[in-house]
Amino acid sequence: MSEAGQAIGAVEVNGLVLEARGPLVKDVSFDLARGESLGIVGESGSGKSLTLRAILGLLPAGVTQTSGSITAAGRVSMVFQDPLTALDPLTPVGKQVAEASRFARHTGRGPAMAHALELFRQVRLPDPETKLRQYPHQLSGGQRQRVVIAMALATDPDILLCDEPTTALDVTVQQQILTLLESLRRDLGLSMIFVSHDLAVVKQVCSRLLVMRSGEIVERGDIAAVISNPQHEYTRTLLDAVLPLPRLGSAGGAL
Amino acid sequence: MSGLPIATDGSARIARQTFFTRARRSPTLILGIIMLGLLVVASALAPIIATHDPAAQSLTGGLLPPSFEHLLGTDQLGRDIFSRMLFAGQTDLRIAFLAALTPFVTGIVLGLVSGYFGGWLDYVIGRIVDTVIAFPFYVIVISIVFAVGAGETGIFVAFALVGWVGYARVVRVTTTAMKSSAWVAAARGGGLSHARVILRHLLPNVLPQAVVLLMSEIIAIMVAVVTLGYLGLGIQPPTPDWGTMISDGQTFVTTKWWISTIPGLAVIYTGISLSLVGDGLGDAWRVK
Amino acid sequence: MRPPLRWLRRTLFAVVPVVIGVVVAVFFLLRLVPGDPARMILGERATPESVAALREQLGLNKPLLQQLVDFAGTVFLHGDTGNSLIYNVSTRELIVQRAPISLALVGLAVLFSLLIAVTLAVLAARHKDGIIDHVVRVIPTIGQGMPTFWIGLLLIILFAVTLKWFPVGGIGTGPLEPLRSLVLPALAVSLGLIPPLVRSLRSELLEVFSSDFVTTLRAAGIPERRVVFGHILRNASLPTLTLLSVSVSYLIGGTLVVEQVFGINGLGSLLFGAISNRDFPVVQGVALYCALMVVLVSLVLDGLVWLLDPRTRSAS
Repeated sequence: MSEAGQAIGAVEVNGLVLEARGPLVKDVSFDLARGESLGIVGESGSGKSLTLRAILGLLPAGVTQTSGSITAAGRVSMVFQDPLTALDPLTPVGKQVAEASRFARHTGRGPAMAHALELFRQVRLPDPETKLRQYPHQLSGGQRQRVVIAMALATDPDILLCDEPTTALDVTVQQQILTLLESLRRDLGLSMIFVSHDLAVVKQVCSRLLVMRSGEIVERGDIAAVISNPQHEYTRTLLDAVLPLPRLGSAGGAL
Repeated sequence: MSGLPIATDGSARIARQTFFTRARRSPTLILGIIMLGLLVVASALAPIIATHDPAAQSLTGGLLPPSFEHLLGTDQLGRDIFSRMLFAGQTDLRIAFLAALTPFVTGIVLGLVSGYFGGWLDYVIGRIVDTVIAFPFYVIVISIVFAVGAGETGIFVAFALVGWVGYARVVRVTTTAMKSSAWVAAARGGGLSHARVILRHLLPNVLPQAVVLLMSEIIAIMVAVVTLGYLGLGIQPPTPDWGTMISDGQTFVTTKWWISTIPGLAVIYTGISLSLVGDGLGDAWRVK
Repeated sequence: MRPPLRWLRRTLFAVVPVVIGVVVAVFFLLRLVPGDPARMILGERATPESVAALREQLGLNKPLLQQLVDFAGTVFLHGDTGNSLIYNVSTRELIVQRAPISLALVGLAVLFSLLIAVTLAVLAARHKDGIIDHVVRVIPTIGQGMPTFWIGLLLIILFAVTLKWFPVGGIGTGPLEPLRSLVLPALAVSLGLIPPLVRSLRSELLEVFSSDFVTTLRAAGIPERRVVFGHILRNASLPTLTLLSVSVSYLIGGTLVVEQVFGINGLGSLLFGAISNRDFPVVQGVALYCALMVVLVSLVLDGLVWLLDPRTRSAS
């Protein structure tokens, strides 16, 4: 579904205000073009996760949108931070993904399970047929996160929201998941919003960047530009926090 | 988990100060203490407040409705219910609190020993605990009271044999967790005997939880005493007891329903006040 | 299959000692008070001859260990604690005769508890901090001090005497009457169980409601009803089953007491009748059976949890 004039996969947020007992997100506005990947960085409490939830339409209990508008053209899906809690521990993972597929595509159980298998292959899960019948606790952290991504893809989304999808994972696994997400974005033509507190991670996957702090956007722009020439003091603090690492001698890469 | 850990005597003082500050600010605790206080005072002053002699019977004045002379009416033997309520409160409170003491002490001791020494001692005590809780509470209490004899002695023996289990379990868990902590190893390394470590260091840490549990246990014992009274196995007449009062009133439940209802309300009131005190203490000690 | 064997071994280590402990405890019930058990049964005014006869009959002249072994033998071989002193029938027969009604009561109480508790917990969790939630959170504090038998009386006053919806006591005859007679007693017992059950279910539901996987399922577009029934309830019911297994003890004990309030002819009246008649073997028998029933039900419920939770099955 697209709003008049809006391309599928585009997101427009205008003056978003989210409140619980006090304001949590204050007057946030930004755009996402079709096929683009946007990063949002900030500390915990900056409101970045809540913004994602608002776009998804599933705010946590007690939080309401008191002002502003969100238009998302197309299906929105989300990948969560902690794969252990993001999956129902009592249901086999294949069945969970198939369930999502069933209700999104209005198909029967058979086709849905076949779709789940296909998705497992797409997220590069080793030995996908066996995995279908396994439970979340039987998989490794990285494998679980792939399942969560598979679930997000099961609804044929146009827009993929990622809330710190690599934070709960080992560093080596982080890299694999990031590569996977980037290739999926390219292959499926998804628009992506990627939230993290880790600038290094965001830089790998995104072309544009928003910096949030205490519910407000303090800086925005092209990622290379922001990193090389940060305008806001807070952005500089974030950069300083990350920069020292590469100087310890690891070649190529991070910042 | 447990309250504030007390590693040395110095920090114990700080812990105590924080406790009292929080305690003073807790509305639950204050309300509970007020309610409990009123109850204790009323029953202690029973001889003074009571309008009649609780044992005084009247052949003609039976089953009178509440009036100026008899605030809550009279029972089937013409005894003033209001006065009986006060004296029954005295008896039931006294017995509930006293009967709660022995299991409190033995439970803590067994829990400490079980958690600290572990091994076969822990296993044996654990099996005994399992055996006791396999019996439904009332079944075993009634059986013991039956075997020992109805009345106060039976009640004390029954709860002494059965009531320690709750404390033992709770204390054991905390003790096991603390046993492997660094400061215990330090204390033992410094040459302290087992007894000293347990008494001076472990005991103060398990007491908060045990005392909070004590409040719940007193409620349970109170309810059991009243239930036993109702069943004829508890406090024996002529000593007034809320349980026997309820039982006496059951025959007249169609016409004079308040005779059986009111003593129950007194028990509930006691339960609420003790519950509030327990919750308040738990908050002040940050014990779950 | 490895896991079931491990479960079996763990169960044996825990259960067998308890069963032995229960039998020993029931045996020593007769000997709690110093003095001659036979004299205690017959009372102060018993003649020396009748005391001697009873001692012979109960085998009290044999060495203590022998008595214990004999007792255990009777229990395990005959499922019995001896003959009733009054009826001269084996206690097992008496118990088997009276048990069905009590079991029916317990079953009905469990049904009421689950229905009411689940409804209240779901309502309280969905409308967190609403009126229902506040009421539900206050109930345990008040309910803790409510004697079950008194609740029974209250129900009689309210529903039997005033509203006349249910009989005041006893078990009626006819097709529906027995069931109708059990409603109030079962309700009285269940009301004691409901507050902790609601408290636990509500907190479990709240945790599950706000957990990530529920959001994942919702985000995937799965309809709310399916999320609640297919996923949330199943997750929340596991700790509830555990709580239920702990509550069996209360259910059985409460039922026996409540039977006295309503004049129902089950195990409760058997027990109290035996108490009035100083019929020790029957008292021992009822206590033994209740304990064994609790152990059995706990075992079954724990096995059920083990079956339902895939995490326990593959756990090391």
